[in-house]
Amino acid sequence: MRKVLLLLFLLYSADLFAQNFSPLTMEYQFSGENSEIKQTGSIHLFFPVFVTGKNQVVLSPRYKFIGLSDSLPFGNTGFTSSV
Amino acid sequence: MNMAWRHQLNKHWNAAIFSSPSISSGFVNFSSNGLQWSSGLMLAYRKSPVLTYFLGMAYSYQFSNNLLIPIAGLNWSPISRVNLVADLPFRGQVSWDLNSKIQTGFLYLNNRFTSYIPNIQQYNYLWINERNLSWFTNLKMIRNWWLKFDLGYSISRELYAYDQLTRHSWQIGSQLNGFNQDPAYESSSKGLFLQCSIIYKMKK
Repeated sequence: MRKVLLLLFLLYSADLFAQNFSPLTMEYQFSGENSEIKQTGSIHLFFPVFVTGKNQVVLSPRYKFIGLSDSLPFGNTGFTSSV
Repeated sequence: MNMAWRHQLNKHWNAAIFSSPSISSGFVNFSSNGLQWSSGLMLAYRKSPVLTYFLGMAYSYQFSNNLLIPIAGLNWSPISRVNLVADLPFRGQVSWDLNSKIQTGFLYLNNRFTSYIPNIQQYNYLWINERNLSWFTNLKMIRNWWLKFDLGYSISRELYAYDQLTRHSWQIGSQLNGFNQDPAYESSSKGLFLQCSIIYKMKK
């Protein structure tokens, strides 16, 4: 099974929008004291589910969170996005 | 869940259709009011092994805003080990492969985030845009695992909150200045940031 998945990755040229994509990316960013956006982070997957000679179908789910300053009047300091 | 279907039209042209339903809300009080949607069509023209142009059009539904976004860009390696990627107007990157284990370069990124704000009467929708310029370094660790460090400066971090959005508004553009109405709350700042990433790559 692992070899099949690796083969699918290799068959996929990873330049869907003329950019390079990676099967897995995890990011964490933190900002300075005076920023109202304190931290952000994300997990991004990218994998093919169907590959033939001229057709490729890929999925790329992403989860992102953002942490804001306590001083903001929104009642929430954490927000998430699931794509 | 982003989903895309790419079809190779001929030796030079590729077409791709994509759709991205998403949901954004408060972390604690998660609400289905944060549903959003985008979809679009892309065409890529591979002029040579080192130069690809692409263009397209995306449709995005963000709460009550309908947005048509023109897309244009390129991926170009003008000389060996140097790569230029532009995804206008959101992203521009120049990278240089120092060797097989170290890459470095500069990245300009418009980083946007929109969300529903739950359980508060005065504000209902959040819109954030960061314009970041950073110097990055990718270090190959073991097998296909890479560490990436971005040290950058946010030229602007704009944060807007809206109460109620105008129903069924339409815009053409990239929505880099918020929704098409006056925000109920706005602030901006700038400053340094540091980003650390772990990346699993199938290629170099």
